[in-house]
Amino acid sequence: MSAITPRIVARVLFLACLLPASHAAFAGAADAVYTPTVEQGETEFELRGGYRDFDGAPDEHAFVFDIGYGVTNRWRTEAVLEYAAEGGEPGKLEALEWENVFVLTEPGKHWMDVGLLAEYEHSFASGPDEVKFGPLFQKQIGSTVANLNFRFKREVGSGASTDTELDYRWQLRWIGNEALEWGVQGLGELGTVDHLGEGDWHSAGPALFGVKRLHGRDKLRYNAAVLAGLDHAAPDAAVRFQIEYEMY
Amino acid sequence: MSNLLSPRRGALVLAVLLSSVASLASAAQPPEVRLVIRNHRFVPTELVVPANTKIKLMVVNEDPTPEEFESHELNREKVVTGKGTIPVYVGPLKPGRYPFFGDFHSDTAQGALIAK
Repeated sequence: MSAITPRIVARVLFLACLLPASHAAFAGAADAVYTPTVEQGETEFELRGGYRDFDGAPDEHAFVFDIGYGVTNRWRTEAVLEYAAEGGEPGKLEALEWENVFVLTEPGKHWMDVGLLAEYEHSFASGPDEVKFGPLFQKQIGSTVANLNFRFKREVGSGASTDTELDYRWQLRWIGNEALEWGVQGLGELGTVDHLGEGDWHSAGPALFGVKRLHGRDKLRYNAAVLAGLDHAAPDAAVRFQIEYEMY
Repeated sequence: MSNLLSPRRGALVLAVLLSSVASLASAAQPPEVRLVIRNHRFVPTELVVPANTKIKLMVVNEDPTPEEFESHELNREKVVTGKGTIPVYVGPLKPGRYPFFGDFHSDTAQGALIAK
């Protein structure tokens, strides 16, 4: 794993630019911001969810439940189950996903911490599956921790589009009281790789973060945000939350 | 913000960003400070380190069982195996006191970095 350098990741991203453009794929209501950190030997149970309100379009909500494990101090793998609903329609299970976070650089050693997110999503509906991957960045300045994720998404399998879409997520967290820290989060879509900027949208808003230490080494980690749309195409308002139970 | 990015420009910017990060990785090595875990305690319990300077903590576990170096204030959490050694990079730290603990034996493994 130590052989994967930022230069290699940069070359992979450059090659991603050459992929034919795609359609579909947007930051889901239950999306989260990822950090390039892994705890070896840790098992986590996570529930996250979100609600988006659109002016003149059906609202949407989604929930995600996943189980993850830190295989090494550089690799965490997770199995993810997604549930979603739109408008007043009944919700349904949407997809099963295999998600992996790789830590590419030693935390704090370089100017920025770098990781990689790699996911494979199998849709329960008829249609193609999806592959997603992208870099995870983290930079700490004093007591402020900044994170930025980019994610390339492409359909695979029968009926797959030839497009590749790009979305992003970011957050700022101010280290303070462990049980309640403040910050901001944002996310959005940048469009397809060969038509970046077309069909993009962006949202941002305040967030809070916290950790509650339980018996033994177990922890409850949580964060939530209220996001406002920054342009016409974005959801007018969105609420998202994430709760993780971490155990060893 | 629409049409801010020409075709592929955004992803190419990512590639340039990462290449720049990689080039900065060849900066001078930070000062190294040794922290020992012995009988489920940190030795020394307090370490004075220079403020405003990145530090490389070498955490040496002399115990046969694993421990986890953890600090909310330092934003670090890392397991060190029994009889193992790990680097933990922290800082630059503003002057102040930064507690840390061993998550496997938090009742005894307590310490702090004093940045001054």
